[in-house]
Amino acid sequence: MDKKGHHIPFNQFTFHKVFDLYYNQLCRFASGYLQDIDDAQEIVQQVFINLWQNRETIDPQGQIKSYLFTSVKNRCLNHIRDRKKFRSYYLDVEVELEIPVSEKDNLLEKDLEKQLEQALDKLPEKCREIFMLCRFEDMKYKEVAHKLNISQKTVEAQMSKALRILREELKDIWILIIFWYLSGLN
Amino acid sequence: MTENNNHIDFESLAAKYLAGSATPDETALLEDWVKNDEEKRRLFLEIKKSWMIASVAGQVYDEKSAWDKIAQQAGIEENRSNVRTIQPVFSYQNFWKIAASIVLLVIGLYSVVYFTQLQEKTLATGLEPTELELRDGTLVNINKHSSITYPVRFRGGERRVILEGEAYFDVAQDLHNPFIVQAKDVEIMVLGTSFFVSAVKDALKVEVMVSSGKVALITPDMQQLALDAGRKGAFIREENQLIEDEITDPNYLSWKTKFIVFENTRLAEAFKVLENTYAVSFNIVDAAVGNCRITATFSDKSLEDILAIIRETFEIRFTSRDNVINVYGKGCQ
Repeated sequence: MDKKGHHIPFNQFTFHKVFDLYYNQLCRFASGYLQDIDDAQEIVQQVFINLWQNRETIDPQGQIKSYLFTSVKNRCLNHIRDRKKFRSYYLDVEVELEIPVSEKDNLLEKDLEKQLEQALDKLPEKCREIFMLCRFEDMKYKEVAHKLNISQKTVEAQMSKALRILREELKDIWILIIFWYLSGLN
Repeated sequence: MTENNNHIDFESLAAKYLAGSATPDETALLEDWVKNDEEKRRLFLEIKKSWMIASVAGQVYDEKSAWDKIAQQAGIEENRSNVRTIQPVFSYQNFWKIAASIVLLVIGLYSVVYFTQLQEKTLATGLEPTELELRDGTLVNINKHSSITYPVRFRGGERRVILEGEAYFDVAQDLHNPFIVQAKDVEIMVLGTSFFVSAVKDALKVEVMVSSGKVALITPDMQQLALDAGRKGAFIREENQLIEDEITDPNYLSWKTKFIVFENTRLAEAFKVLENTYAVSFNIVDAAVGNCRITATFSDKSLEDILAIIRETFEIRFTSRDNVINVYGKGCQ
């Protein structure tokens, strides 16, 4: 048996299906790169708009997922570069994760989410609070220190601790993460 | 600075960089470390991964408003059907006023009619296949032991039906409202045409055979396969794989057409085709009978006629009881 395809152009129906399927996953993916979930959503929405506008030129045969994830990733990296003064191209882009790719991923998402929640729960309360502010609310060390009325040195120490604990906790599920997280790339 | 201290400084610097709080000097230092020290590079990657993956936890994104925004900016007109949500609003409060009550009655009747038309129906078959004409003119032949769920009236947008088991569709052409057969977790989108779907409950695959026009198969993760007439496509769930092939079984529609072709076919196989075509089952008592081979074409013949021909040709004896036909005979090598 052979697996071959014709070109089926996108229509409104298939487009909505693709949106339902990938929107959430892409937002999470974008949030991996960014520190502000509104920015992440903005980027993902823009990618969908582009997909629709260029639907005639995109072959939906099996390539959609890869197209979406790659576009989101590139836009995130551009966004980081445009917005932040003190970034290193080398650290942001060239040091990319060398990751195998899997097509079977959606099933894993719930498992992964649970494991991550558990890992975050392992952080001491203060540590968690500081981590969440830096990670998701786009706050600088200085701002966090000011908000919580602590020294920047303390923020620094807590952040380092948070990432060390997460690294430790996530060690056993890296394979799971890899499957889910970058399954759309390449 | 001890080795240990250096290590801790590195982690803390990496975190600071990721959080966007490192100074240009610190960034340069970190970059230098990561570039030149394999151990630090590995460590940085791990820290970066932890940082990134934390995004999976606990964030909820508003899909509805995101879709509205995308649809608006991309210029997509919303045209999705919504089959189940409309309720008639009806009141008997104002009967003292005759005129009002007449108006209400008219509205009420209209709502009831309208509501009825929005409802879904399910047609399930038992031992016999049956035929169904949908409101859009689409003809569906439903094989035995199958069921189809369909809206009494299609509204704008897609024409969607749900199939369990097997059916043959002859779809009325309507380019603006795609016809979609949901067969387990696979969707078959019609580009105007006739085709056969097999989505038997416990079977490992969903199969589609196209007799005219063109059909698209869409899997849960949006793989697509377009099929032309004479081709069949299958989705194998275990392997998450779509495959395409030529239709090789000439009898896949025999249950509908009563047109059967045997070409050097083993009788064991032939009886299976007959089981599928007529609502009976065969029990081959003398196994050797199954080895005999038959070449024949039957067009719209009754089961009795076909069995008579087989009986004459192979010196076979049939006895029948409760829809089960027992087969006896000397058989073939």
